[in-house]
Amino acid sequence: MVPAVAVLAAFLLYPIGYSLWLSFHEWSGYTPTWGPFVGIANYLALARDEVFWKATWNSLVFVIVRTPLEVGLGFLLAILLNRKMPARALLRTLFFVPVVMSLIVVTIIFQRIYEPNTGLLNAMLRGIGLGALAHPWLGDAVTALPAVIAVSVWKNVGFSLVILLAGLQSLPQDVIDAGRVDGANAWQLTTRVIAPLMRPILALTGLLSIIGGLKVFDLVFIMTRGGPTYSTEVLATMLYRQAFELNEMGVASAIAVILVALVLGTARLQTLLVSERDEARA
Amino acid sequence: MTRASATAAPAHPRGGRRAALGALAAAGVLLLALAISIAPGLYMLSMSFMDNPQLFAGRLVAWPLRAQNYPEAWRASDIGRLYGNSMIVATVSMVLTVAISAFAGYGLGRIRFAGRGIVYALVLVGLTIPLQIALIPLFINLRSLGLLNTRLALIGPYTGFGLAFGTYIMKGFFEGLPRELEEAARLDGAGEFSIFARVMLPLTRPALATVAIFLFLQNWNEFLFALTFITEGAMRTLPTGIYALLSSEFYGNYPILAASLVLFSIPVLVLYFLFQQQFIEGLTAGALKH
Amino acid sequence: MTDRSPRKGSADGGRPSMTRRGLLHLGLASAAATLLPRVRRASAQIGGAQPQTPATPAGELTNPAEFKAPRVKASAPTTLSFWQYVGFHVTAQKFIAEEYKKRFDPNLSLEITAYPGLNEQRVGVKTALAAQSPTPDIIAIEPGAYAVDVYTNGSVIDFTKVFAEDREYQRGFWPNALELLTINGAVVSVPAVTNTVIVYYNKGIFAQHGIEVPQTLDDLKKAGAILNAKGIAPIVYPAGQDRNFPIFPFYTYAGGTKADRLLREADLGTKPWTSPELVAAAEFVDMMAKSGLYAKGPLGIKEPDAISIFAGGKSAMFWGGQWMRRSIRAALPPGFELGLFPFPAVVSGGHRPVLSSVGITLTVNARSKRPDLAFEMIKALTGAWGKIEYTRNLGLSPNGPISPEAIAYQMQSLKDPLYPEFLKLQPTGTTRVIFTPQVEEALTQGMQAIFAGQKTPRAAMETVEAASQKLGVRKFKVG
Repeated sequence: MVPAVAVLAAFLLYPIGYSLWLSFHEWSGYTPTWGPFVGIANYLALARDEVFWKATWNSLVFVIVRTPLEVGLGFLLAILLNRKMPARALLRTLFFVPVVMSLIVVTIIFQRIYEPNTGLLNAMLRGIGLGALAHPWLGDAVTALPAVIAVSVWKNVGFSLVILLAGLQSLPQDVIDAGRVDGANAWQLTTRVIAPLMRPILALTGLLSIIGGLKVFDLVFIMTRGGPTYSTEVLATMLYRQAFELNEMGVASAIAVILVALVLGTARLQTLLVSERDEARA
Repeated sequence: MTRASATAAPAHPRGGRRAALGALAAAGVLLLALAISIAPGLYMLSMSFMDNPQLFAGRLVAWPLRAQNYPEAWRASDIGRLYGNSMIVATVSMVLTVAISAFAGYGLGRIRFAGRGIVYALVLVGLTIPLQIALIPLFINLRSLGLLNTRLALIGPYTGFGLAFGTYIMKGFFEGLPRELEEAARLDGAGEFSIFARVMLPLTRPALATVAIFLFLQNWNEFLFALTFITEGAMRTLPTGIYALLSSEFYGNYPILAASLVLFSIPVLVLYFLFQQQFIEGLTAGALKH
Repeated sequence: MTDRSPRKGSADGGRPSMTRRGLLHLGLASAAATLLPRVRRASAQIGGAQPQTPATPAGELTNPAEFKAPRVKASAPTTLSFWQYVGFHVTAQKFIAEEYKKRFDPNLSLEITAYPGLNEQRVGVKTALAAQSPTPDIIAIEPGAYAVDVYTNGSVIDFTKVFAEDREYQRGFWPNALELLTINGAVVSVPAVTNTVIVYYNKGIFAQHGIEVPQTLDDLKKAGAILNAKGIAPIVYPAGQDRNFPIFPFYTYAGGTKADRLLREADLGTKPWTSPELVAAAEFVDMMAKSGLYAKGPLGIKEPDAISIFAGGKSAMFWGGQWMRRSIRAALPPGFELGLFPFPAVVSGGHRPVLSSVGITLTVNARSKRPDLAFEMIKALTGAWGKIEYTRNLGLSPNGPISPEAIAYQMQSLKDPLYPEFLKLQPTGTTRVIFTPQVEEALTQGMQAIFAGQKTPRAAMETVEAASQKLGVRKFKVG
C-alpha cells in the first residue's frame, strides 16, 4: 500500500506542486528561469477576462449535457448487453470501437458529416424535405458546441458502457434472483434492484465522465480550435492557447489549478450527495 | 454467494407476449445503437480502401478496393518498428499500473487509515491535471535524469498518470464488495494479505480487466508525451509515427491515413475481444460457480 | 552531375536582381517553360499515394546553380537534429542533405523530425528551449510572433555573421522576405520557400458559362451572379481551416489599397487599428461575407471539404494557398482543367493584390553544440543550388529569384503546369504576417465575428485596437 502511494506521489505531486507555484509567477516559457512572482495577479486577470468566463460556462455546459447522456445510454446498453445472446463478446467489442478509434479519424469523419454544402447531415436533411434545417453546424456560434458535444457523446458511450458492464458482472446474483422470484418484471428489476446496487459504480462512472468533460481538449481543439468566436472554447483549449500561443505559462497554470479545484469540488459534492442518500435509506 | 455473469431473460412465462415485445424492443435499441456506433468506423474502413478521387467524389463505399493502401501505409509509417515500441511501453506500463492500482485501490477502498482523504484527493488531482501542464516539468526532469529518448521516459509517466485512473476504479469496485465476505474470511483466521489476494481480488476481475484494457488503450494512443519525450526515430511509438503521416508526402492522402489508423486500432480491439472471452467470461464463470 | 555546372548565359551573371528586366526575363522564361516538351505530361490527377519525385531527374538539363562548398566541415561523424512541422518537405530536405554529405562532408548527417503540425512542433520546441536543450540544432519557425519569441528570448542565433561572411548568399533571398524576418535589426531566420494565396478556378466551368478571369471586384460579382443562378457556388473558401484563414480577405484588401505598411505599423502599435483604411478592409470582409460569393458557411468548411467541393464541380473557384496545390491536384478527376489567378483588384483602378508570405524558415538553436555546421546545412538547403532542388521537389516557390535555366530544369520533372504561374506572382506579393500574438488573436476573433454577423466592422477593429493598446509599447522592432 505504502509503495503505491509513494509512486503516486512521486509522479503526481511534482507536476501539481510545480503548476501551483508557477501560477503565482509570470513566465513566457522560453527562458530557462521563471519570470517574477506576481501573487494572485494571474487569477485576477482571469477573473477579468470574459473569455475565461465563456470557457468556464462552455465547460460546464459540456459536462452537464454530456455526462447524463453518456452514462445513461451506457447504462441502458450495458443492461441490454448483459443478457445471454449470440456473439455477445463480439457485440460488446463492436460498441467499444468508437472509444478505440483515433481522434484524428473521428474528427475527419464528423467534419464530413457536418460540412454545410456537401456534408452528410445536411444532405440527409435535404433528402427528407427538412432542407430548411440545413446549417453550418461547426461554423455557427450557436450550433458549434452542441455539435461537438454530440461527437463526444458518440465517442465516449462505449467507455461508460465497458465500466458499467463490468459493474453489472460483479453484482450479487442472489439478490437479483430474489427480486425475480418476487415477481418483478424487467423494468422493476432494473430500477428497484439493479440500479441501487449499481449506484457506486454509476457514481464512479459519472465522476470520470465529469472529469473527462471538464478536461476535454483534443476533440474540441481539432474540430473547432475553440471557435467560432469562442463558442466552443473550453478551459483546456484556453489553457493551451495561453501556454503555447500567448506565452502566458503562469496564467495557463492558474487555469489548471482552477480546473483541479473544480473537480475536487464536484467529487466532494458527489460524495456528500451519495452518502446522504445512503443515510436516508438506512 | 455467486456472482452474476449473465442476467438471463425472465424464465417466468408470465406476460409471455409482453416479454417477447420487450425483447424485440431491446433488440431494436441495441441494433440502432450499434449502427450509430460503428457507422463512422465502417466509413473509416471504407476510406482505407479508396483512392483520393473516390473519396473527394463523396463516395461512401469504396469500389474498386485499393488494397495497396495497406502495405503503403505500413511502409510509409514504418509501422513494424513502431508497433514494437508501442507494445513494450503500453504493456509494461499497463502491467505495473494494474498491479499497483490493485493494492492501492484496496487500501483506499477498504482500510481506514489516517490521511485517506488526502490520498484520494491526490488521485483525483492526478485524474484532472491536464497533461500539457505536466509536460515541461517532466521534460526537464527526464532530461536531467538522462532518460529522454528511452522507453522509460514514457513508461514512468504513463504508470504515474495511469495509477490515478487505476486506483480510482479499483477503489470504487473494492468499496462495493460486501463486508460479510471479509468478516467471514477473518473469522476463518486469514491474514490481511490473504484476504486481499484470495477473497477480494478475484471478485474484482471484471474491474481489473477493464482497467487493464483502458490503461493499455490510453498508453497506446498517448500522443503528447510520446511526441515530446521521444524525438529519435528508433524509439518512437505509433501515434507519433502515424500522425506524422498527416503532414508527410502523404499530405492530404486520407485513404492512406485511414489505412494506417485501422492498423493502429486493431491491436486494442483484438485485445478487448480476447479479454472479454478469456478473462472475464471464461475465468469468472468457471472459477466462481462453486 | 558535376560539382560545378557551367552557368549558362544568365545575363545577371549570378547576381539575382529584381529589376524590371529581371522580371521580364522571368516572365518570358516561364512562358517558354510551359511550351518545353515534358518527360511525362500529367494533365489530370495522380490518385492514391503520391509518387515521390525521382531523386535524379530524368532528362538532360541539370541544376544550373553552383552548389557551394562549406567553409566548415565536421571533423568526426556528427548528426544535426532538425525539427520541422511540414512532413511533406522531408523528401526535399533529405535529398539535399544527402547530396551535401556525398559531395562535401561525409561526416555530417541530418536527422529530421517532422511534427504533424505547427502547434505540436511549437510545444516541443518550447519545451526543449525551456530545458536549455542543445537539441534541436536547426529549428523551423514561422515568421511573425514565433520568430519574435525565440529571438527576443535569446534562444536562437541570428544570421548577421553568416551574411557578413557570405553576401552572395544573402542576396539570394527576396528582400521583402528577409525584411519580414528581421527583428531588432538582425535577420533571425531564412525562408526555405515562399507561398502565395490565390484563387484556383475550374476552367471548364468558366468556359461553359462564358466567364472570363475576373480582373476587378465588379467582374467577380458579375461572375458570381451567373454562377449562383446556375446553382454553382462561386468561391469555396475554407475559413474554418485554421485561425488565420478568416483574415485572408482583410489582408487582401489591405494589399489592394496599399495599406500594408499601415497594417504593419498598427501591428507594432504605432498606428491605430481603427484607421480608416483598416476599417475599410474590415468592411470589405463584411461585404464579401454577405455577398453570396462564398459557398455556404465558410467558417464551417475546412480544407479537405473545400477540395471535395471544388473537385466535384460544386464550386467554380477556390480561394486557397499554394501549399494546397498537391492535395488539390490529387483530388481532381481526369479532364479537370485547373487554373489560377490573383484576387481581382478590390478598388477601381487599383492593382490586383497577391497575398504572399514565406513558408517555413530555418534558424539555429543558441545552445546547439555545432552552430557553425548547422548554419552550413541551412545554407545548403536554402542556397542557390539547394533552393532549386527544394522547390523542384515540391512545386512551391523559391525563396528568391531563380534563373530561367533553373526553371527549365525544374519543369523537366515537375508535373505541374501551374508552377511557372506561381513564380510570376511571387515578387508582387504583400505579406500576411502579424507579429504580436495578442493582436493576431484579436484580429482572428474580430474577423470570425464579422463572418458570423456578430460584430460590425468598426466594432471588430475597435476590439483589435483595444488588444493592441493593452500591450503598450512593443519590446521589439521589425525590419
